Amino acid sequence: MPTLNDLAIGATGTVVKLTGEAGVKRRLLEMGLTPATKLELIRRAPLGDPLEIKVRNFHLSLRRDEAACIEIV
Amino acid sequence: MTNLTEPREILVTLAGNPNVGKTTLFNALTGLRQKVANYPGVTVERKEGRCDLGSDQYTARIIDLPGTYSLVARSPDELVARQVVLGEVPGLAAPEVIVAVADASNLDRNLYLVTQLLELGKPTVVALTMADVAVEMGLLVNATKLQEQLGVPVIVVCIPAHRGVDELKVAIAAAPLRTRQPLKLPLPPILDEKSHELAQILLDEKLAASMVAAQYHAHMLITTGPDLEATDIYNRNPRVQAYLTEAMAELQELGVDAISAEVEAHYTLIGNIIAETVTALPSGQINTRRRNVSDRLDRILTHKIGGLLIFAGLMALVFWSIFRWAKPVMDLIDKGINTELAKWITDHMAEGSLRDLLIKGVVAGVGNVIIFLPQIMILFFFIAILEESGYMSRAAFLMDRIMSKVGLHGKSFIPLLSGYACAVPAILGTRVIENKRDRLATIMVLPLMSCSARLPVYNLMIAAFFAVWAPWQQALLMLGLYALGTGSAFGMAWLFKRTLLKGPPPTFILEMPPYRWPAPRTVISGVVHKSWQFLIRAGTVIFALSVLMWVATSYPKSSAISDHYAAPLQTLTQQIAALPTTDPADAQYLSFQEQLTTLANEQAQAELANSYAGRLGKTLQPVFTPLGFDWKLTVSVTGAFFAREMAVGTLGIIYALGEADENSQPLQQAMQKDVWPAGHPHAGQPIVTPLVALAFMVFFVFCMQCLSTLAVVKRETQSWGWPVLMFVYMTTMAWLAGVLVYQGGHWLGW
Repeated sequence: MPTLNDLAIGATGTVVKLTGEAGVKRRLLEMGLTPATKLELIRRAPLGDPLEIKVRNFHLSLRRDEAACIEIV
Repeated sequence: MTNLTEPREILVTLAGNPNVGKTTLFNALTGLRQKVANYPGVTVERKEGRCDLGSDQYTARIIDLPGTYSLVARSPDELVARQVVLGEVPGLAAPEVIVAVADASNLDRNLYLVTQLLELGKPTVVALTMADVAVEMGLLVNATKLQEQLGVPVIVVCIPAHRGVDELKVAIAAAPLRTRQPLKLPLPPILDEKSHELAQILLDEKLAASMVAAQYHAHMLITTGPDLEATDIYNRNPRVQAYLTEAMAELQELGVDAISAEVEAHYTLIGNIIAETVTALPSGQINTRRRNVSDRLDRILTHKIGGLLIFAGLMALVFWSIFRWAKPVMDLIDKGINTELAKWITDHMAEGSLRDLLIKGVVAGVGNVIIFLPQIMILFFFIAILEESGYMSRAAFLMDRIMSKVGLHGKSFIPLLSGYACAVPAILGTRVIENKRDRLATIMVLPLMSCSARLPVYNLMIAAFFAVWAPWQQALLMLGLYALGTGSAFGMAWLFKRTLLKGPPPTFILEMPPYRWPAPRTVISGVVHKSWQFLIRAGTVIFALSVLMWVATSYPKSSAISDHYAAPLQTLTQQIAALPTTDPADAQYLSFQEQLTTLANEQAQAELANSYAGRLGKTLQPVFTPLGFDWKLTVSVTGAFFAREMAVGTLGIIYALGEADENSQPLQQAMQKDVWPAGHPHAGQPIVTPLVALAFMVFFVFCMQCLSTLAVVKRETQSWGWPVLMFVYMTTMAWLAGVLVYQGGHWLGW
């Protein structure tokens, strides 16, 4: 299953499922990254990590490790 | 008709996500009638103020909670927010009314916290902010429909236009009478069942203040899993632990993902509410200017090269300002207090121990506290602007990769940088870091960043012992000392995060809010409140330690020393008085004056050597022999344990030159000419060689010589353990590094 890390800059995807440690998973869900939510990869930081995404009308940044917990289609 | 009864004061809390205009609303409601304190046991700010609701029945005491995305806490700030709402903070009653502040331009995510608050069943009012921004984005929120959907009053507020604040006050005053049922989300029945059973256990074990709190905690424990920091207290109870372990196993067997089920239930409800209340405007009516400006700024400010350059420039500006702009003010404070005020007291008081205590203890102590204020105010001014404008998130975004290499957070960068100026404001500045372990790791390594108080020591030693070097070589040596401190700070952070402060993998889930002009009022009140807190909380300790320092360097008094110098001093004074002229150009007069100064300096040297600090220095001398220090350098180092600023001054006194600074030629010459006395294995050879000077500087790079820093660390960590550990590890490192330099240099034949 592809994750957020596989998304190209400017491309959009839809959340399928969250995996990973309970605390991180919960916070990602709470920020609105629930299944079926659309997201767009806006940019990567100059040094490649973290990423910035747009979800539910706001911008969120997260590390590659966290992006790996977000399975998308 | 006049009121016979005074209006009753009700407790109201303002809860909401970060960056939704909560603080602006708080300011609008309370005006200037606010105060900032701390919640017991943590360094989370507690802001509260009073508000006249315009009602006969009620007035309000309003608490502005830290911004939070969820009641399931991930940071000390969020934990406090939940504790206040649930009435779990000692000495603070449960709020009677909750004002949930929600950003209309970002309604989905904001409603998540709102629905969590509604689950508590308390009288609640929703304040809807940023409705204008939502319209610009093409989203029209129907407040009346939202009110129907949520079942609580929804007031649209727009602070810049002064709209909605009075309506909000009316709604707050009416709220206590509007009792309501807790919002009930449709969850798998097994989760409800488990929550009820656990709530009963929590009540039995007296782990919850009320049934509401017990139900809430049970619900949270079941739906968050047992591994969150905030639930520690319950996990330590064996009965709760046993129940949770069993329940989790059962849920897993049934294939119920409690966390997802709970959050998704919220968002399903939110999706339904949004569908009923928000309409999309036709694209012709959308004003994309603001978002476009923010997007365009981001394209520049987070650009691979341009973004990093601008960031470097901004950091240089912050650093430069703390370093340079504060200097004249600090000099003014120093002059005003330590010179002018001290002189005034000298003129108006008889000589004696009391005057000494007043000048060198009390006045110097006050000076030692407020001398930090210019730097603290400048740093907090910049931090407030960076945070308010939304740039702080971008700075963290840019720096996170580098900082994460040593296990720190992008937000650790700015405090670490400020550490080059002074560790005291920088440690206060670590409050921007939410994660407790990251914050502690940052605090613990911050004093390794070479602060401005080390600079005089570096300057003196380089000027006196590396004078033959070319200016660029000297600059390189200086840079090397800074790099040594910085490198070891990162190294120690890495070590701390792998040992003592080991925790779950750090997260970086950070909102990037649209850029905004910082509200001057928020910036100024932030600076004033933080400076005031420093004065109250750290100032008292720094003051006490300064008085202690005076005692250690001036007692015990020795009558043998004063008797020894009394007669010759008196003779000289009489000889000067008997001179026909007091013309400063007169050779005889000048010579007498010089003798007088020399005698006084010798007496000061003898008194310092005899003081507790001096004796301690002599006792400690064997410890510093491996670093090549003689007793004079050792006493200077010992004195500097109170504050590094003391090092050069102490050297002046101990070399019998009186007060001296780093540029003092006599001090540099005295140190260069000082030789080991007869009887010493190196008799006749210089004591301070370039190698010893290098060991001395390296010692200062690492050593924890600042009681003010330790006092601030104690305050910020709420424990003695961390400052003690800081002192021990840094001082040990300093000693080892000093030995390495001196012995290693010797071995290499330098």
